[in-house]
Amino acid sequence: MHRLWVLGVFIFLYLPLVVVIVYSFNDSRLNAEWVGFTLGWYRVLFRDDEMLKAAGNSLAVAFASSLIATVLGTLAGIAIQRYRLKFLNFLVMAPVAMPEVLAGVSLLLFFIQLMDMDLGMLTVVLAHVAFSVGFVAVVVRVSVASLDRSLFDAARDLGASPLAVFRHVTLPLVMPGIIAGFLMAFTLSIDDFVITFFTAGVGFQTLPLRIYSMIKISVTPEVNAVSTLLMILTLVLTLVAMRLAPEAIKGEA
Amino acid sequence: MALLEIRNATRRFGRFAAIDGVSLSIEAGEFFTLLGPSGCGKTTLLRMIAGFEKLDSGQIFLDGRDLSGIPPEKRPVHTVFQSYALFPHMTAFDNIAFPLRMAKRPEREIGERVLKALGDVRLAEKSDAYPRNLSGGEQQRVALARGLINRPRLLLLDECLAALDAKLRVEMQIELIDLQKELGITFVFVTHAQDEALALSHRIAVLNRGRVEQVGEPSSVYGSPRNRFVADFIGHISQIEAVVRESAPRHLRLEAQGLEITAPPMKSAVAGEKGIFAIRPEQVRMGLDDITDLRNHYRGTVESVLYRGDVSLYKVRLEGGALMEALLPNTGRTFGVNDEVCVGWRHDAGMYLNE
Amino acid sequence: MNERLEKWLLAGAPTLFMLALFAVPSAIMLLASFRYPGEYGGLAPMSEGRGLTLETYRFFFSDFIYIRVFIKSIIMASLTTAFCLLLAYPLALLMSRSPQRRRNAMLLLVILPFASNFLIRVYAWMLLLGPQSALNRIVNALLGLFGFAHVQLLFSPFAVLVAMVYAHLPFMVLPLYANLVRHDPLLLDAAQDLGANSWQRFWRVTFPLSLPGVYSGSALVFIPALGMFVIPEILGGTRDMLIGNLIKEQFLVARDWPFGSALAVLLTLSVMLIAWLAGRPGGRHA
Repeated sequence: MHRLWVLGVFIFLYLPLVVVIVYSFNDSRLNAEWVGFTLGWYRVLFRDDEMLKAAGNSLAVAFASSLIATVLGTLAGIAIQRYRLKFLNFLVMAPVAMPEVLAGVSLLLFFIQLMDMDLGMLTVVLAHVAFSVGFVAVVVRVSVASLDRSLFDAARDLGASPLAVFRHVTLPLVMPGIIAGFLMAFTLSIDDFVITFFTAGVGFQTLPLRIYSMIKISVTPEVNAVSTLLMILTLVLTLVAMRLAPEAIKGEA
Repeated sequence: MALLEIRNATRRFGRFAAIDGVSLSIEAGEFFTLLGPSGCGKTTLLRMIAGFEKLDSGQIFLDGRDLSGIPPEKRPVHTVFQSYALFPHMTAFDNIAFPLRMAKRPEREIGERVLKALGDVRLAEKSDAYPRNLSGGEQQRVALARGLINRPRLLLLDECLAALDAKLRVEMQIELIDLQKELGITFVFVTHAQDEALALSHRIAVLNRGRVEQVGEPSSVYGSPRNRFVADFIGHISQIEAVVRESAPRHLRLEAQGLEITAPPMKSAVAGEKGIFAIRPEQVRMGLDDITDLRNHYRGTVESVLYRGDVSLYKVRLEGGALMEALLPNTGRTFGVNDEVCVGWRHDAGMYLNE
Repeated sequence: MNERLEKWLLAGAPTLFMLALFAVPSAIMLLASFRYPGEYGGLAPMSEGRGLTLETYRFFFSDFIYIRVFIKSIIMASLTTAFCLLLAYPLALLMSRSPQRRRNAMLLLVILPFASNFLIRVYAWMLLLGPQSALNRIVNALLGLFGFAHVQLLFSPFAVLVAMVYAHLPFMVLPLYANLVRHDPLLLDAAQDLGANSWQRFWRVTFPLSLPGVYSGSALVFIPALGMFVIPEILGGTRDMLIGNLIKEQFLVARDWPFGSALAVLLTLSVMLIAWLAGRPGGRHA
């Protein structure tokens, strides 16, 4: 009974994704009956210039924002853990805990009203950094917390200056956490729809924005194809991140 | 001047004084132990010497140089941490090389010295092993080699044998003594285990609540504790409340729970004052018949026996109600519960304590 | 280098960045909710003698339409939380009592679908519930058998709820699992030894001990569910609008920024209330 229920939950979790993948190979314009196998929708996808441009934008935003977020999040994670900085912890974690729509509209107000910026790639990158810093900080913080505090004392004691301690001890030991944090930030950025939706403006499109407008206007199996590819990408990234910092990702800290 | 001179050091955490006016001087080449129960401030004092804790008042001098304001990495003092604190991302070789690299020694010299150090601690084959692949004892030896590699003036050892099992611990104790003798580097060792302190040290400082209770060689700390705390903390001791009847230059006469006791003299004792008579169980003799050759001898009943293999510890209720412990080898005659016995000790055994 | 300098070298950059891109935008949003709307959208300039006002809040409370959207959102978020709990608890319990290897495999199985794009996971339900889908046809065939009218699964509150539960399920499973896996199995042996049957062992030992996990999981589901606007937008009908949609409309369609900000401020306050309730003593992650 118990096991049956759990089996049901797993079916609930996977059935939708399986349906998307299966339909991406279906030789029919309608997402209804199975007609026959085709790779046609992938061919359509790779000839869709707008889609390819959106994908390029997504990758560019993801690289830029996750790099910045990794630097800031690493510093924040180490600082929070070492000096018990409650305020900084609140600053980086609050955007993670809030509904995304709030971050989206407040950043929209900020960029337009206060900074007088044109919405576009720059605003999207900044917005993505703002919500990813917290994720990186958590992962890094957990890997710092799992270290014996006396390691840092020992390094000082044996003649290392604070800067040398950071370079030779802290950084190499939290590196798996930093890489995992980077991959998380990258995945989050590639995936983000809501905050991008508010901060991208009219001229700039990322992959999720493009998918959204396709869903809203007309559902073609091309969406299934791009979804399948995106699933594979995030699957790989997630698996790598989990291998690097298992405790942090499972939230067992 | 001594190698290390601590003058009136004090460290407060809020209202609690972790270290409260401690003064100590440690000579070059000494194996010096800070002994005390957990929370007595011994680790804080060690961290003050290493430079991790600031002093609220007082000074610490090393070779006559005031250490205040000098960060840990600039002090010629290294620490072997309780957890060893071996860097998990470095091999045994790289761990030991770390202080030399921080001191920017040339790589060739580093290679030679580290390999020699590895040989000295019998780990030549483990050069490329990571700490997680070393046993507890091996990790301990890497930590020691790392702390000693660039010849600090002082090596601090923080409860560093505590994590080892009993047998390995004894081996490491012997190794520590040999190493210290060979290198002539001053060791300051922190422990809460009195047997370890007695076995290893040239001198011991007994700490309690941030203060030094007594400093001395193991035999004097054990044999002539200055007060009740030291007597109680180090070794096993029986204590009975006593009143001084007569304080003579060569002896003391005490009355304790109806017993007349002759005890070694004590200058500060005054007739009429109250204190404690304390005696170690191994100084007490026991027999079925009167032990009349001893000045102090009384009748009593065995209340309990704790068998320990080579020896047995007896608790005996004396006439008048006092409880006395006696430690006797099991090679001689043994006794059972409720046996009527005679208990006695020499007139120069035991001690009177009024602090 | 002293400790204060070291601290600022580490914390300085992230603090400044987050102040600029979180604290300042939040403050602007709060301020904007007390401003007048501009003639062509956005905010009216402060200079025209129209300073701060409570007008937007008065407007919100004067029209029941908006309060009803709030209530509807709270009901939808509560239902989402309840169904997530119902689905997640048995799963988390089974995971926590499996051998180590199987436990990790199951954990991975829970996380993986969650790692795929959020829009795709919502979109998948369009396929599953669409008019030509097998599910839709089966349901309607059954309904027809009993003489009920034909229903549309897609673009309904039902579709919204299903996708909401689907999207937020891992947020419930993970904290529950993290809590349950730490329970000492000896406690259950002790309870059994003392005469408790399996039902009693669950309700008297396991469940009370898991409450911190239940609280934090519920908060992690409820909070994003309350602000959700994508799911109703894609799977809901025109009448299934939630607070999130209302806020989005104000900013991107109606261009009434003060009112949108006021709605966002009210949503923030609700979220903070929930977070506070879940974080109270007894609600904290053990």
